[in-house]
Amino acid sequence: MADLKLDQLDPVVGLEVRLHGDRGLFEIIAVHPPNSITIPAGSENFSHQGAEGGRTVDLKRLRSDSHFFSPIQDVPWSNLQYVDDSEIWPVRHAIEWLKTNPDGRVYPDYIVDYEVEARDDHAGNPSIFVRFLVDPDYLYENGRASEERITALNEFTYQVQQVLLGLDLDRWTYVQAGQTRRALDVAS
Amino acid sequence: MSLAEELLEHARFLATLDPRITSQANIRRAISAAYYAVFHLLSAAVAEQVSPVFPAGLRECTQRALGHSQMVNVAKAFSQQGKSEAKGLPKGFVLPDPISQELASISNGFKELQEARHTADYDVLKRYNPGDELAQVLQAEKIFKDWNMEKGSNNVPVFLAAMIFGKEWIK
Repeated sequence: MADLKLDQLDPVVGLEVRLHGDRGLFEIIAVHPPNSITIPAGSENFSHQGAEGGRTVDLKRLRSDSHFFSPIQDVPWSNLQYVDDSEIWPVRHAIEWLKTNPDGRVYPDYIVDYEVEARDDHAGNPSIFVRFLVDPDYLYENGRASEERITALNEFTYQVQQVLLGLDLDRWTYVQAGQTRRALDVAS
Repeated sequence: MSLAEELLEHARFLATLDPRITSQANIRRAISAAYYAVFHLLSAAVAEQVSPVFPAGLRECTQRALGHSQMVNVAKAFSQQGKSEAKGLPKGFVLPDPISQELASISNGFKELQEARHTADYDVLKRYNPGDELAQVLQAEKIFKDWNMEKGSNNVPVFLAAMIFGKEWIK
């Protein structure tokens, strides 16, 4: 099973990015392989075509100071700026990559979201904490937490940990899981 | 039954209480006991490797010499499956075998459990859900199973020696 390396972190759908020279926030909605440039149709009034035939992405504007809201197509990868700080983005990127189920790895559908936080651990080691939020309905059977399902969850977090270790980040990494809050809990 | 096994059993007892009547204290103690079960499993193995049974008490004194921070540093160094080198070993020393999945899993689990134990014991802002602790207890149980498979491997003597001598190897 291939490991993911930092220099292999291709753009992936779902990542939030900024563009050089634009104050807005964008989400990647499509990734195009090299030499597959399409002609922008109905895009914003500036072109980001991949001039060198490299990898390009399509973007959707999330927050804007501008009145243009159409998708922007074929933006060269080199024009992207990752939103997260430098410690976090490789981790988010790796998780988004895992969501594509690469190399037969399965990203469980009961994980509804994840959080990434850069801070020191209890011993003062600069660390990155990844927390997968799991649908509580998945974890429980007849009112009790299912050991089988938690074991599967632990196995998944171990696999994520191995991917993150392969990135050779200069930080400790912790991969944890927790339940999403039920709507009732949030309201109370 | 060893102290490590007793602690693991205690952790499981606390983690499997009826979720309708369990408490934050039970959940926190379950996580803490899960960590200490693994801590004593590994520290007893270190003491067994480096100290004889006689004179009586010497091995136990040796076990007391182990420290959490050095142990977790070693765990971090052995946490990547397939690697043939580990940080903190004597210069030029190469592991006899690549790090196995079991040893990597033990190492990762120890690191995660130590952090979880610290949160459970000291972070009073943290609010646990019933069931949160079971993940840690199952992780500790897996470490015990993995340890049974791994303890005779070529890498384990290095792993255990590093836990007690690792700091001195840098000299």
